[in-house]
Amino acid sequence: MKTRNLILTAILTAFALVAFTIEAAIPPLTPIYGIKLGIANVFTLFALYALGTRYAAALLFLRIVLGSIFTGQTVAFIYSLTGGLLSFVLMVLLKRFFPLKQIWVLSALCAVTHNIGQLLAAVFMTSTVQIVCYLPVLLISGIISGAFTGLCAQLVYIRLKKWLENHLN
Amino acid sequence: MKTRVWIIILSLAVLVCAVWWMLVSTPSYPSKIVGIYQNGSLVEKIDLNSVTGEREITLSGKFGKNTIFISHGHIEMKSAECPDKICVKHGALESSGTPIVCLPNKVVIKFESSSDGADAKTGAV
Amino acid sequence: MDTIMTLTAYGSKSESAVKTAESEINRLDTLLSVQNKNSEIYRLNRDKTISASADTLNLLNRAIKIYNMTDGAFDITTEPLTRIWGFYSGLKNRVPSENEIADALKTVGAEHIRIDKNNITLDRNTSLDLGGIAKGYASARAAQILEENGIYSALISLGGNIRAVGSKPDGSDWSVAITDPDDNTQQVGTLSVSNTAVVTSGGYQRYFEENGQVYHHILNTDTGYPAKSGLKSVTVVSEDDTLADALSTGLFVMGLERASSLYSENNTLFGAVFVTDKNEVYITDNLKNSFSSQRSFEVIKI
Repeated sequence: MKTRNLILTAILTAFALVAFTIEAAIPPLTPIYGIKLGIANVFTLFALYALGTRYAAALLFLRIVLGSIFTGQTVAFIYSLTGGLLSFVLMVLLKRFFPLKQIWVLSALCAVTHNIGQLLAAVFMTSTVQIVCYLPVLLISGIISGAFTGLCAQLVYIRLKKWLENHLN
Repeated sequence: MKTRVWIIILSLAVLVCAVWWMLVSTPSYPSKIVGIYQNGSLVEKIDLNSVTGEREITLSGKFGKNTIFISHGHIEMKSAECPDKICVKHGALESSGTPIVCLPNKVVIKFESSSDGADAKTGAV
Repeated sequence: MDTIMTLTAYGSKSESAVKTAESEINRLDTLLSVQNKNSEIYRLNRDKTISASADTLNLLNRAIKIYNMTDGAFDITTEPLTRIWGFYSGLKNRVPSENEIADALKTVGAEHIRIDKNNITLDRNTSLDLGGIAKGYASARAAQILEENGIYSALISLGGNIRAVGSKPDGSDWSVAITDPDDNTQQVGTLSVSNTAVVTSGGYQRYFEENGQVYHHILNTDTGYPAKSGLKSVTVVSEDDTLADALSTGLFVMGLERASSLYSENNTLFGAVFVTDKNEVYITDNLKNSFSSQRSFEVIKI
C-alpha cells in the first residue's frame, strides 16, 4: 500500500463526505425517498479508476459510516449501505466492459442498482411491499443522476489520468 | 458497445419508466378507502368519503410520534418527530399520487385498491 | 345537507353539469328537509296546511303509493315517533314511555294526509318526514340533469344512496359494493349496475344503547319501536331512485318473508339484497347475474 495512494484516498474520502453532508443539508426536492443527485458517487467512481477496487471500497465504506454519523441520518444508514454495496459490486464487475468515455453509462447502471437496493432494503425494513410503486421514479432518477455524476468523474479522470499515472502506481 | 447505443438504451429506459409511472399513478375510480400501515401491518382502514368532522391518529415508532390528520376526503401526515419529515412534506394523499411513507417509523398511508374493485359503496346512514 | 354528496361525472362538460346537479340537490334538500326552517315540509308540519310546489306534491304522491304498496311499512308520517325517540339532530336519544308511543302512533299513517289539487293538509298532530325518500328523489333529479347536459357516464353518491348514470367511461358496468353491517370497511358483495339506483337501509349506523338494549333509527309504525324484522340491512336496486330509497326502508321494516312476497309481485320494478341478523345473505333472482360475493348467499325465487 503506497502512502500516496492512502493520502489520495483520505483526501477523496474527505471530499466525498463534504459533498454528502452538503447534499444532506439541502431539503429534499420531492416527497420520495432516495431521489437525490449523489455527488459523493463522483469520488467513489474516481477512486475506482484512479486507485483501484480496494481503495474505492474503503472510501465508500468510510463515507457511508461517517456520513451517517455526521448527518445524523442513522435511519438512512442501512438503506445507504445496502444500496451502496450492491452498486459497488456491480461497478467493479462491469468496469472492464466500459471504456473511459463510457464511465457515465457504468455510473447510470450503478445508480439504478443503488436505488433498487435501497428500495429493497426499505421494503424489507418496513415490511411494506406497497412502496415498490416508487420503483419507476427511482429508476428514472437513478439513470439521470447516475449519468450526471458519472460524467463528472469521467471528465475529471480523463483530464488527470496522465498526472495520476506519473505520481501514483 | 457504442456510446450512441447506450444513449438510446438509457433514454428508452427513462421513457419506459415514465410511462410505467404514469400507469401506476393514473387516478382510479372514485373510491377513497385508505389504509394506514405500521411495520407492514394494517393499523386502520378508513373510507375517507364517510368521514365527517376531523380526527387525528397518533402512531409512535422508534423515532417519536407521527400524527395523521383526517377529514372528509382528506388525509395527511400532520407532524412527525422523525429526522427527515419527508412524510409531512408529502402533503395530502392524492388519488393519483404516491403513498405517504415515513421510513424511520415505518408508517405507510396509501389508497386501498378501491374497496376490492368497487366504484362506490352503498350502506346505511 | 347533513349527508355526504359525491358526484363523479365523465365527459367534456362535466364540471358545469356537476355544479348544476349539485345545486339542484341542495335546492331539493332545502325544500324537503324536516329540520330546515325554510323548507316546505317544515312549514307544512308547523301550519298543517300549505299550497305546495310541484316537487313536494310529486314526492308526496309517490310516497303514498309506496306506503300502500308496502302495507304501511314505508311511512312518511313518522316525524312525531322519530322525535320522541330523539333521532333528530339536537335531540337526545331515549326510550319513550308506552304512553308517548301510543300517542305518537295515533298520528301515524298516510290516511292523515289529504291532498287536494296542490293543497296539502295534515291532521292536527301529524307531521311528515321525507328522510326515507327525499334523497332518492334528489338523486333521480341530479341524474336527469346530468343526462340533459350530455353526461352519459357518472356516479352519484348521496350518503350511501348510489345512482349510476350510464355505464363507466370504458363501457363496463359500475361496481357498487354493499357495506358489511358488522364492519363498514368490509363489504357483503358487489353489484354490477348501469343506469340504476342502489340504496341501502340498515339499523347499524344510527342507534343508541340503553340498559343493554340497542335501539336503531328505523321505526316500525305498527309497534312504535325500532323494526325487529330479523334484518341487518336491505339494499334495493331499481331504475327508479325514489322507489329504491323508500323501499330500502320499507323492506327493512317488512322483514325477509314479507319482502320476498312483495318482490314476487313486483319483480320487474326492483331487486334486493338482504343481510339477516344471522349474517345470511339473500338476493332476489333478478340480481343473480349482477351480484357477486365471497360469501355464500341464497337466491329468492318468485
